[in-house]
Amino acid sequence: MSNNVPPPTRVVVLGGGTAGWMAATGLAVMLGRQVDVTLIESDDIGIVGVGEATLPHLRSFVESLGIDEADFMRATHATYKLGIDFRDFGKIGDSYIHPFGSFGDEMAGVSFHHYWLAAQQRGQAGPIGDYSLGVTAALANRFRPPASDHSLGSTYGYAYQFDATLFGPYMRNFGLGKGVTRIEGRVVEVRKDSESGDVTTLVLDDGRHVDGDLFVDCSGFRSLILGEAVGALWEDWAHWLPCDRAVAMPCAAAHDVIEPYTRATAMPAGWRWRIPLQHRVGNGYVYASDFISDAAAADALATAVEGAPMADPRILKFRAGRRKNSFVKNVIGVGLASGFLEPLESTSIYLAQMAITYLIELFPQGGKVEDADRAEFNRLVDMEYDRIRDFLILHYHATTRDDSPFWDHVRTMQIPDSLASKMDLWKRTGRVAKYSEGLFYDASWIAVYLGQNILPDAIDPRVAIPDPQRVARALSSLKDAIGGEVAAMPDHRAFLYARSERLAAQP
Amino acid sequence: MTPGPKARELLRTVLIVGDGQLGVLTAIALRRALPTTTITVVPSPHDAAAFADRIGTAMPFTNRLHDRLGIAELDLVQQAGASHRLVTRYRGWAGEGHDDVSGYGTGNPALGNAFTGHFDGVKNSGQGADARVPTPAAALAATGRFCTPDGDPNSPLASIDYALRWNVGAYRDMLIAKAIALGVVYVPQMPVDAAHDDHGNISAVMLSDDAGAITADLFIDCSGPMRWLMSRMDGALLDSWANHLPCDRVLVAEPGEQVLALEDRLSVTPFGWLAEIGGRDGVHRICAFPASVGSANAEQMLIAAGATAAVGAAIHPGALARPFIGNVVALGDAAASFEPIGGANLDLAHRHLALLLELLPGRSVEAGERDEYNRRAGLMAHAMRDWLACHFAAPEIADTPFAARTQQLLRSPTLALLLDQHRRHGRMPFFEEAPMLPQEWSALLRALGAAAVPSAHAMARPAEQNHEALQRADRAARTAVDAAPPYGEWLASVLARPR
Repeated sequence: MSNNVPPPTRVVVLGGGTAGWMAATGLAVMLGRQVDVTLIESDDIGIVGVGEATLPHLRSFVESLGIDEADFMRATHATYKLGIDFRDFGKIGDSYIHPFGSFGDEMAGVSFHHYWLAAQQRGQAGPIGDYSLGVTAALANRFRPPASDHSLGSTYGYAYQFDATLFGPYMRNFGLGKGVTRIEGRVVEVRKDSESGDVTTLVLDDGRHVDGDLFVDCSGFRSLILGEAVGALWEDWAHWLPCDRAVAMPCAAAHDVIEPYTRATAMPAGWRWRIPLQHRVGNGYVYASDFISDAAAADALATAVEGAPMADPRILKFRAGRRKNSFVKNVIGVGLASGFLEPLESTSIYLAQMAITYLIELFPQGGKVEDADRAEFNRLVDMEYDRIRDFLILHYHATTRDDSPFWDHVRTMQIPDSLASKMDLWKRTGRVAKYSEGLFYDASWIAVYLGQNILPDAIDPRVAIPDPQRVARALSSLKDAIGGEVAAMPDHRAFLYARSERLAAQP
Repeated sequence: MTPGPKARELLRTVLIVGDGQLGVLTAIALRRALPTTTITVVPSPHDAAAFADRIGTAMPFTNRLHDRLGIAELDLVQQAGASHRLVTRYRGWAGEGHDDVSGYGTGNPALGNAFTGHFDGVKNSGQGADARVPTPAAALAATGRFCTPDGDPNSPLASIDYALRWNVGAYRDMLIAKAIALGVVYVPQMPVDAAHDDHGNISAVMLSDDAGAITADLFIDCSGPMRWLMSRMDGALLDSWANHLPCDRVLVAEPGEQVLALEDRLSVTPFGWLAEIGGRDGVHRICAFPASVGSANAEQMLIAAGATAAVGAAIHPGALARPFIGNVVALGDAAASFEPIGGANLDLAHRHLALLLELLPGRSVEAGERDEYNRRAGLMAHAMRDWLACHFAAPEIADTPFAARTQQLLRSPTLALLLDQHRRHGRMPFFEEAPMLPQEWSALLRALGAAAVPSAHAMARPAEQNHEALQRADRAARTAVDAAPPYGEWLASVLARPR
């Protein structure tokens, strides 16, 4: 087109897991000829493949890459997800769904949950989930995509439950078709410029040199470039989120129902996931090794699962926290190389996606990284991590469980000030501290507070203004309208099976 | 009844000090939210720098607040002389002869968010686009055609957002009639003193002419920068913006000749800035300047623009660090006082009012909700300060007495961040509670002449895709013009409708 088009920026992605292939493909597709993307992976290094359940944000990522949803679902054995069913968290026997969606509408400028709390005390309201289309549809095992207007049918969202070990390879195939160069090899040395400290070259075990302008570290927990080579410091959050291991065990589906939701069941030393895919169910126990042995955790999982195990239990190790900076010199950490938060709210893939998105927004044109962009990237990544962290801690801290040392610890631990002030505002006034960037807004906080029995001492004074009978009628007509919508929805399995393009072959 | 959350006791009485258009609207809003609460309004001494009361224009947020409060736009047009501002024309900010417009909303929807604003860069990269494609709002303003969207989401006018201007006296009369109909109490005696309780809260306000005292649970200060109530509260500290904004003197002229315009103008001069607001009751000319350039020069600026008599006001730019202290809330210029650009004073006042409605306390105020109010109100005010400061930072104004002042200004960290991100990436960071959409902010910077490099993502888009987007944008603008009648004709038809 023109003679003075700058040469493409050479981006080297280290690591061929989910984060690595998402990063390589995202950069190649979104930045086109401005980048030359190389990904180094080794078949000898296993991938963690965390994140079998996802958030709705993944849909826009997949869509903006130009991936066909049905094809993507077929390749990853995906099912639809309307939320997470949390069991036994507030106390044993409890169950609530945190939906992708809202509860009721505000009335006269006052949030729905204030009226609901008042009506419930009068015995004039059912569970809060009755007033959420997402929750009601999930519990009925029904699904159809939300409406795109402003009707009741638009008040929920959806994500996918899929096989994480298939998602990376799917992205690999797609990325290879979009111009990503793949190199098989193991990095034995990271070379840096002696003056600037920037990384210049990765040396592989067979002696090859891979030069780059920008290095994206997706090497997982090892954080080979960001952590080891450029020394980004680690901020440890294990004192708030003590779970540091998981044992995973896929099982055959025990019955025909495919739930359009993930289940998280609290266990004596952590919690257990159950994720229904097209032909199997993913299971795992996330636990704190200070409170239970690996063998005992594996036994507990084996006892709890429903279907026939399809593999031996596999143990993963991790630690909650993040790098103090995820963009240092010319190195950007994405995924586990940058930080880790347990998958209690299915945030693992989101965290990789958000880092990739911010990197694209701040991409250094011409290859020269400005301090201001590193600072902005780190500001955004910290904000995202910190908000999710507080929300996760809430799930553990908002409990009356005293049946095990683990729950005694999380119930009584000192929580971050940022969370303490949010909980205090809720307790005293029933209000949610507001933010609009990052993850988990009002409805999510309300779902967890109410679902885990953290009731406010006082609510908005204006709930006393309308006639209680009128409020009761409004609640009941909303419940009926939701019931009507859900009754008209197809069964989740039936919807999934209605198009064969979505379906993986039976194993 | 099972033990559980208690609905707090409702406010029984609220006293609003200040009976300008802000105080009266606040009374309407509170009375609608709390129909059993006694809402009383008393006047406050005249304050020439109470711009939220003196200037008859705001921004699009106010239209939505009016809707919520049952104040119909049709009534504003018929009874308060309201007219529509689709865009603001900026002149001289990027040097002599500079002239550009920006409006509200997400810009040209046909272009999509990421692409908007990258015309120039894309053009320079050889991807075509000979001329900048106007937004539908700019195309309408340029052709003098407009009617308010009829609510049909598929209308070519549906995406257009606009601000209103009105006649302050007529608007206030209209609000007073509504307030009276709602049962708001008006006591026309000036406040002379306030009594405090043991906790430092205000317990009563004493009135002139031995009219007695009014007690209340909550007090609202709508008195302007004199801060009649807040100045009587311990801990009411002003966070000064004197190093961030250049002007501390303002002249507001008598309305001039009548016009019918869909745009207002904001021009920079060697001595300050000049706003020309196209009210149906006449052009309202406002100029603001630093005291250091001398008021004679500023008056000359107004006279040259066609104005006659003007009223001067001095301001101390800044915001209360905590606009909610004890049982007293400051709204409008009492909360934040600054040079009146583009209806910003009333916009911020109305956003703070909406925040108060959201976090409306009971008879006793919880410290945590006061903190949350102050946190969010502060974020709004700081973003407004940065929005105003953008005018003087991007690009730097040429060598004049006014420039000598603007070049001394400090940039807040957030302003520095957004200017740098705009310049190097065509990106606008998100700021919590900011009164403007990121797209509106980008559009302002471009209209002020601040160049932006297109983002890497925008540069990656294929030429055909960009070309198609530009064509779609062009079509959207032309379709809007085709769908709208001449503004004057439409206005005449609205005025002819029965009230």
